[in-house]
Amino acid sequence: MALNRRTLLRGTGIAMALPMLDVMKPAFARDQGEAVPRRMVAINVDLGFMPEEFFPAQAGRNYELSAHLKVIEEFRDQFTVFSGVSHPNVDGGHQTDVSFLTGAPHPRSAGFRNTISLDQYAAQHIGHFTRFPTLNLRVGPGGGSMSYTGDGVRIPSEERPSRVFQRLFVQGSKSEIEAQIQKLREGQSLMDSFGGQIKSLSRRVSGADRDRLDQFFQSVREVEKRLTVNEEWESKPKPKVDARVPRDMLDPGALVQRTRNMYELARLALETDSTRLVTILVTQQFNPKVNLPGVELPHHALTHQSQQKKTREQLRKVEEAQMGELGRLLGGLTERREGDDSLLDRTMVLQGSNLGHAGKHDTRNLPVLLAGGGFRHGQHLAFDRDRNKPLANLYVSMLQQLGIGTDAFASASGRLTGLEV
Amino acid sequence: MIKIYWLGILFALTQSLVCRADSTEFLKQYCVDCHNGEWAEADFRVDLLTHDLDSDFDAWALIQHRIETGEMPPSDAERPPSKELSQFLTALTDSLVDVDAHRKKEFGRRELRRLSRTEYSNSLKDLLALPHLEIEDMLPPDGRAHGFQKSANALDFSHVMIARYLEIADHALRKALVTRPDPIPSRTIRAELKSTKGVRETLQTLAVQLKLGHAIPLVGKERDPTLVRVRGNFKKREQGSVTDPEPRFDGVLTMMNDRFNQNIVIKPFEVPQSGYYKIRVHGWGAINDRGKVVPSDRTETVAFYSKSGRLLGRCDLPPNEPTTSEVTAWLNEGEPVEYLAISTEFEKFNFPSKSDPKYEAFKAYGIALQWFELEGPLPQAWPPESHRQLFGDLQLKASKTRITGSSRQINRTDAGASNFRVITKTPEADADKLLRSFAQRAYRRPIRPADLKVPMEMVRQRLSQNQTFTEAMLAGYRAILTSPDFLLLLEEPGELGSWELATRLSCFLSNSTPDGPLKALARRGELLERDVLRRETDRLLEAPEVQRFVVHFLGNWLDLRNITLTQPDENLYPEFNVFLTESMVEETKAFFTEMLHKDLPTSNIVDSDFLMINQRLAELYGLDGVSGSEIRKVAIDENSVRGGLLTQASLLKITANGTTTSPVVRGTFVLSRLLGDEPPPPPPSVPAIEPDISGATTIREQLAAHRSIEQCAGCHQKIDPPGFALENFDVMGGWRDRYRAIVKASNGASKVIEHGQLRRYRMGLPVESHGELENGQSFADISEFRALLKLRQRKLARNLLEQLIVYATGEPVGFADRAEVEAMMDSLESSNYGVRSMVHAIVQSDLFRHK
Repeated sequence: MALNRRTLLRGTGIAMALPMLDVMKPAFARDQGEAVPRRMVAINVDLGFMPEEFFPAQAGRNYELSAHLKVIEEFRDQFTVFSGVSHPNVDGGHQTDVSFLTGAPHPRSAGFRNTISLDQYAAQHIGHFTRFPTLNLRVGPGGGSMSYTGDGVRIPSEERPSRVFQRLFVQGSKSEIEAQIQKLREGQSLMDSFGGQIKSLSRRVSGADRDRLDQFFQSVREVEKRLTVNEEWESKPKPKVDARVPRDMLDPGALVQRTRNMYELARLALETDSTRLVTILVTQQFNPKVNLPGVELPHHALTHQSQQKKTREQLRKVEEAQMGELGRLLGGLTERREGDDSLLDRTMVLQGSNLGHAGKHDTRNLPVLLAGGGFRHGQHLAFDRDRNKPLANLYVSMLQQLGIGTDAFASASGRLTGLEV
Repeated sequence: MIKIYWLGILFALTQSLVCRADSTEFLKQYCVDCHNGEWAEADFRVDLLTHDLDSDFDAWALIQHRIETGEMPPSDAERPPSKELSQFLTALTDSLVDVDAHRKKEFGRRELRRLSRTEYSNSLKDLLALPHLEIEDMLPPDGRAHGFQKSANALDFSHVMIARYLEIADHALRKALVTRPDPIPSRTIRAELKSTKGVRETLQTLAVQLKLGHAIPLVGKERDPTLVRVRGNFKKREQGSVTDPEPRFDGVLTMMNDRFNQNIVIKPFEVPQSGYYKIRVHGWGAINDRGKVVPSDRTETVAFYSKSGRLLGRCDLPPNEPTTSEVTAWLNEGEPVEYLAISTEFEKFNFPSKSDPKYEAFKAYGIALQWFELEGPLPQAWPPESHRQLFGDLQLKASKTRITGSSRQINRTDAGASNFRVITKTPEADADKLLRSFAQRAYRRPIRPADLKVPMEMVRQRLSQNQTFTEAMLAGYRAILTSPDFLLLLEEPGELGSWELATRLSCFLSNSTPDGPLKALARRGELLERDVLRRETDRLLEAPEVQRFVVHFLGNWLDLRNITLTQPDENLYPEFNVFLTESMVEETKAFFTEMLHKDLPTSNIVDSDFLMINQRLAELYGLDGVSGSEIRKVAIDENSVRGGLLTQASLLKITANGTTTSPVVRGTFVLSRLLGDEPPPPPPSVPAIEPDISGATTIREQLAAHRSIEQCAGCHQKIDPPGFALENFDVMGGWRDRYRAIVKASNGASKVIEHGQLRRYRMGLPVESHGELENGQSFADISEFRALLKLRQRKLARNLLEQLIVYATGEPVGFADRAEVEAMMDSLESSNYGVRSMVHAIVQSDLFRHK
């Protein structure tokens, strides 16, 4: 699929003429004497990609593009493709999606407790620069999310573009804003007194009940903190975008269109510096047939028949369409400028999957690529297929690129070797 | 402090475990060979196991389970002598029971939890007297633990959740307020489908259908011969037109049930105020036979929906007799009403025919429509109940200045309170009185003076800023609806008090906060008396709110909530439509409700002498004599292939993917959901089996190959047979003797028209539904399989009882509960494990009456 820049601009219902980024840049971030803003989009395509179509045959810089990577050929120098990476001890087929950004082991075991996700970890350091610390999106139904708090509690993701748009861009009237600020203050004072109530309740209970109340207490405190920050944001205007609220397309088969809509929203959110951390779960587990010419079987079913020629063709169509949407996103980010850079130069776009081979429910050798973000790209970093590198090593590299000085995250043994700035 | 004491008990217990059964020796001899080190079988390491039952309880419980079910030690390994085995098992079980019982005594069976999102939204509906408030989707979905959203593990807290409560409470409270001081008088709006103007102004979809030649204009019961259609040309930007010389048409025959761009709003309908309305439609059933309107032989159905997808009601229209049919429905202010001719067959605008008009190319059932009417709002008390819950009888006065509410986060219509003011001379005293009465209804315990402190502060603060009394009160109410006391279900270890018991009962059977009568009994402590508790259980079971339990329970137990996640393939199953999905869900709900109300034996899960169906389902099941959309009880033949939940369309659809069915999926469903015998998950890195839709091989052949792999055989011998028995049912629950296979349009698609559409499938290989159960019993088809299942009545009942226990108490049956559950099973035997008896047994049990 060739990407036509004009169509990129025209795009979907939410493509729009945008004010210049530099004008848009909130005074906020600059006030805090911050360096070049760094951003991240993390995408999990939960049915993954056929390994033979995704991974290139050769390693290094002069590798030949695989069938899937040909779809995004024009960005060859802007991304690195990885092979031989996975999360150690993350097993359990489809249910490993919860661990994709957390690396928490054995998600299907009885006592499983998740850990903090990459975006939330980063948000603790850079979340306060923007109106929304993170934006957690989802393409597809269900309650899934890539984002988890430090306690391992799932942070819900939003499926409806209209609601995301509303939160990002729809500005209230002056009196509405005042009323909102008052409500936030009221919320803070409520949270404050509730915090006290929970503490005193906590003295009356024991065991797991107390842990539960503690989780409640932490959440209330977090809300209180966020309400305080929100109050500051509330008095600042939301970015203006010249577009109507996008229509929510909930046709399960409209995977491509829905993916496109969500990616566009993600780009807009970054472009307007509404957030710097976006997660997008593209979930197809529930098995719909994708509306594409020539595709007759449900997506999930196709992944289990990829050994047959006919069905393989159908799956290839679906996956290439998904790669095409990634290309669109990269194209959109390339076109936007910020200072001397393109937006892509300052945005890491991670696309991966919690499954290395959906047909076999294999959770090793995950198909991962990273685009943009200021790295020296244009290579295939191949690690051992039998003894995989921890994917979290890549996450450490990404955290460092976001300006967060850490050597540890989840199962990481350090930063990923071979990926340089 | 507590922890140390606790460890002390454990120490004593584990000591006794070692003494009683020399467990270490047993494990050494029969388990550790395979289950040790890095390469331990199933990743289960016995060598790391400690005798501290506190930390390793789950692992010991697993050992107990595997040995009890005979799965371990495996048959090809050294088996212990049966005496040694049973000694070990008894000792281990006793220890686990002891530890579990101590734990439960100390902390209670279940952990403290918050209201689930369904309980929260129902509670708000009940408290605010807003039965049709739509807020559930505004909260993030809850997790699932042990199959339901009823336990602490499924009901996490996050800052997102807490923040959302603040927004939702405000949204809901504003919906409860009147928008004007006086009620709007009822009026009747009629929308007629007379000639082109009438159609255009009434229903866009019908205007488009006429223009494209899909719908037939009618004069009386005959086709209008004079309509002139000029089709537009999109490329040349020509609009096209429809003109209607005399005689003008006065009705439209439509064959289409598609939502077509959502242009199905009845445009003249206006809802100036929330309340009950009557919606009417005038029309009849007819058939389009390639352009000729001919008499029909069946009743058709028009359905009305809110824009948010709420079914408002259905109107049946009999064949050939012009009839007015009406429904009464609650409509929210400003809410558009949508129409769908749901019973019709034809769905697609892109009908592959060169004929013009299109209707000359096919034959299909249709609905002749002449007009729609909306009457209302029907008279109601003023101010409405919802408003009085918040402001009692305080006087209202129209206000001149519009104050915009702080509503933009949710919805602009939230700003309802701006058109009037609530008049009070003594704001503080009124506030105190109103808050007190509201808190009494909201909290599930007696009110303490401290409860009003925070809400009153909120009110005073607003009043001191010269805000309206209304705004000030809303702030106070928000403080109540978001407080820990409202959100949390607090229980103390030991026997429940009457308030806690009332809350458990209402969360169980109404999925909400206790209602007035239940609270009155709790206040007086009478609920603790067994016969009072029994009477209340009966009352709640008879109440309409019991449907919330039915929906939620079935939604999770049988995955009914997932019914729309996949749609039958339009090429393979052209006869499928939305009406069928709606009907099959209603069938299963009605069927379970019948089991509940009539105390029917559990065996009805697999077989019944009646069905709960409507016309659409009767068509699917091949039964005659059922006409209309309403679900009713119908007796069936003894040798019918239907009967029981097992062969209901909903279950068969949920266990299919829209295109194909898999015995593996269906077999797993039957084992885990109906028999409580969940097979272990497939090992990693084994390719799954999916049916081949080219029609070359049957799934049975593929599975036979799969079972020949030793690694797979063990489980699939158990999983596949129930699935085989259901092979005669297709993806939407219809009967099949042969599989359908897709025909490629390129290799000469058939010209057969079926259900108003070109048939795009052919009949493929024949279905085989015989099989052999793990224990060697064989069956030839679904009927024989059903007979075998009925023999396992106690197993079916035990599973249903356990599912209900999880739902009612939030916790699965543990070691310490086993004895009581066995006793319950015995006492239920005389009722043949009647479902209503089960509910009573649970409510009266110690499991339910203790934390």
